[in-house]
Amino acid sequence: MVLFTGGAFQGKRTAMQSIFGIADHEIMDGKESADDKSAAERDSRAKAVAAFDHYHLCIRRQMEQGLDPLEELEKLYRERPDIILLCDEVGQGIVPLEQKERDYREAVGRTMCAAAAKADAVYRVICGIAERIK
Amino acid sequence: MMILVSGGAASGKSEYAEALLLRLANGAGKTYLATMKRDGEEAERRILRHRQLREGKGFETLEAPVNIDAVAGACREAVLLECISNLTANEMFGEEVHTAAAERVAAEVDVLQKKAKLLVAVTNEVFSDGLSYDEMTVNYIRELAAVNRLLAKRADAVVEVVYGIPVWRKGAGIC
Repeated sequence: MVLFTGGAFQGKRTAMQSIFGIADHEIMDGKESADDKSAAERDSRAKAVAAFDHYHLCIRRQMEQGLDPLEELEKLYRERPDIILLCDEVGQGIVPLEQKERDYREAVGRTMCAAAAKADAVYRVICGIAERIK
Repeated sequence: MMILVSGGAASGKSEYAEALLLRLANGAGKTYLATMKRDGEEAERRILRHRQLREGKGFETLEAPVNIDAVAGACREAVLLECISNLTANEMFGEEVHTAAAERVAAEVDVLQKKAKLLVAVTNEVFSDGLSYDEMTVNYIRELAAVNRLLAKRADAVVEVVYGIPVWRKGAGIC
């Protein structure tokens, strides 16, 4: 597994594509699985793609569906130990007033700690520049 | 020696700070100095999680939500101070209100730094969500940032933890 993290709109996807030579059609997007595609269709795509963009949106959806994001990551990793994950870094702000947002922030953090521990490489992207921190 | 450990929420900074302290303590007595106020169920959950992380590792726990300099004498040689962001909030919005808390917090930590052989202080990155806040919150953000800068200047090493991975900002070689 490879992880790209960093703030929103920092150029994670472009950096990932230039480092790993991944084309657009090989990327699944956390945004797109928000629509009503069947689970089977989503799973079969997850098997085929090389990278998973906006993974934080998947974590939010998993929570809304009552799933455990850590378990979902485990599942993904078991099936696709070679996947490249791209996920916004969301923890560097003031503690949100809403419980739901606090839980989301916590879940993204803990899930990404687990992902970073498993990953062979972790890149952090700022201003479009990727720094390999692991 | 003082090491400042920073990171966002759920970045793994506590775990990293603790492992760092255990590695550098070299058998010295260890104190966990907790600054979090016990003010509800969520705080208790966090405290429990941190207690479980430290279990069986030989820490003595002290609690001081404000005025940590007053307990410096009671600490053992190696101190894990967690965390600066709670301490700053408590000094600003507690029973006593200190608007310009940065100098005060830094002075308190200074007393502890001089007393302890090894001090690992955990702070928090709260500066990058880009949201607009009320004046009180903006004051807090500014004061915490000032504390972080003051402590980083005095620290022998500064490390930012990104999802459990250390990104050294100062003094990488000494740890």
